[in-house]
Amino acid sequence: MSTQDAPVPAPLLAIEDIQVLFPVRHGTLRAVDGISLELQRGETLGLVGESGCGKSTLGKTIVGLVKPTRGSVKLNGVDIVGASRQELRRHRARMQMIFQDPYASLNPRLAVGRIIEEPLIVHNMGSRAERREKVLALAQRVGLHPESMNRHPHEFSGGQRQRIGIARALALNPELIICDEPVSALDVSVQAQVINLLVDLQREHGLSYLFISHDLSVVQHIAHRVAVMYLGKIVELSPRARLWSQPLHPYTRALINAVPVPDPEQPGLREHPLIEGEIPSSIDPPSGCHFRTRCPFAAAECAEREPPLRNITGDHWVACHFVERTADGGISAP
Amino acid sequence: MSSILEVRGLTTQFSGPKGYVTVVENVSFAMKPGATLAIVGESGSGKSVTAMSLLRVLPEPPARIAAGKVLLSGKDLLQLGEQAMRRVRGRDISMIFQEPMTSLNPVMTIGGQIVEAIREHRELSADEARAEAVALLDRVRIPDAGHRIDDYPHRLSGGMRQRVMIAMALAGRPKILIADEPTTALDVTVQAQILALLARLQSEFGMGILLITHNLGVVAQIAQRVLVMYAGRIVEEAPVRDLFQDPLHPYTEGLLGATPRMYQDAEAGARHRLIDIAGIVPQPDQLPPGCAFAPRCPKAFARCREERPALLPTRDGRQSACFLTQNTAASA
Repeated sequence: MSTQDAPVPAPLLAIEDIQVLFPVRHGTLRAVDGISLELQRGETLGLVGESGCGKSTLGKTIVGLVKPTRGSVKLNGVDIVGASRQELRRHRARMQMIFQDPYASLNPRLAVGRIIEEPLIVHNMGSRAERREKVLALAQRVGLHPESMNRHPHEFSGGQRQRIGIARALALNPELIICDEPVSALDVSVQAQVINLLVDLQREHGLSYLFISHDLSVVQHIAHRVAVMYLGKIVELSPRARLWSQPLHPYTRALINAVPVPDPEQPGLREHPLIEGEIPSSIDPPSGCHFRTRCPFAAAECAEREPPLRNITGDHWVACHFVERTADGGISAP
Repeated sequence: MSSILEVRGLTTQFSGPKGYVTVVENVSFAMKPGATLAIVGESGSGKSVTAMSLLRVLPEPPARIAAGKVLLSGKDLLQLGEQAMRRVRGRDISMIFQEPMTSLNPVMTIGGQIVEAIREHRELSADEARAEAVALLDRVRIPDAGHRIDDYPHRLSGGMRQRVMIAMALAGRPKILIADEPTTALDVTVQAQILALLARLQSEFGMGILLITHNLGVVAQIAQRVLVMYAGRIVEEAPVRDLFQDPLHPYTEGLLGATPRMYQDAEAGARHRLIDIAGIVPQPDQLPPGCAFAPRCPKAFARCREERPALLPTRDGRQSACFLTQNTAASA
């Protein structure tokens, strides 16, 4: 499915200027610091960043698990921030979440069949027999044995637990699934199984994913577009192939260069310049551009003025003072 | 070049409710000075237990090393008493772990801990040892080492703690550094820094590195030779280029195909499908009778399910434990 060239219909999800601040003892933790994004139907938007960048908080804010300090989350044009409980429940049915550690999100005392059935019960869907039938169909689709539905979560492997989480998320036929590091805890062979399953389910159901991960290789594999986050902000947003072929933000380039490529023939870490230092705390982050303290190109301007996320060309957005369109139509980046 | 460490037929078991279960079986390999050998495998492959068996840091019981030799300059470490073994640890072989916080003492300054490590192996005065500790922190690129030396571990970031662990590991000037998932808990930009640091220190100190990892990217970037482990056994051994270019064992092939590759996806335009190896790694007490990988192997045939393929040389100094590659080698 190509979403890159399609005409742009109204987005399934539109978040605008989301800010999530947490008061802490010595200041304010700026977990998400003014983020706007749109997600189209059938699209996978990857959200990548290192620890503390706020990507998980943003995911939780979208599904309503965290209340934003500011901003709106529109699903099919309806703002669900500040919606009533009842309204929220209706919207939640269309938007589900799967987590890194499926075990922590599965009730250990319930049989797996009941866990998958739970959303159907909560939303009063179908008769008991219909629900039972749906659970078996879901189990089969995600690759769980229908006979295992009476067993409990601890009897399953990590990969199977993630399949349980996915089956539960699919139960209400959602339009959007927020995937928060869904394969990070899995071994690579099982990770591939789950990634392929997510790709297949998207094709079958026209699902949209917000795919949150620290692993750029996984995000680049599964996403149509990728947003790169650093300390609560999006620094670059681009179609996936473009992010690889022409990364513009110094942080994106540093991130790409830092990924150890599983091929000894490809240019490796030895050939790439590395950025120094570690991510500063998101409690009172650096002024201006949050990345400036590690950026090899930082200048006085970067401390004084925060670079807005600007459209550079086509679908490519970047938040850096030094990225410019040149007179001949090219792009100059630091 | 001769080996600095030779492991022969290492077999490690853990006692379970139904007797001993073998988690590392008949593992043999040799390490060359100044080179990096990687052991790669998924969880349950026995890669970490292999590393810990070399230094004999597994709790016994429940663990026991049931067979094998670990030869360091011809001396079998498995025959040494605990006293002698303690001198080996840190001076001949050091180890760093995934989570430095579990190995650092939280109520002691990092300087105090490094000084302790230095003086365990070398006769230095307190002042000399402190100066040496500052020098070590400098070498692992801790900025402002003269001041940071008096910090407690909790004041440091994850990357800085791993640098401190590396400094402590180098205090006894070991010939071999065992690095067990040294960057797995770190962010990718910090991981790149630590890998670059390890490579630099290796050339400065000339030590051999035994890298234990699940990450094929890390293997490709820093190892020269690779052992692939599955369910407690080595299934393939090869120089790093050969392994990635032309994997012999179907498990290695599967692992490589299951790993997402940014450049490949970007260049292909459309995403390629990852190879998924069906099923999961078997529990060590439930290994099938033949090849442990046979139930998941797309190429398995009857013999694979009955008979266990031995790890045998194939070609170009490589080894594989698969009937298919062994047949190819024989007919070639």
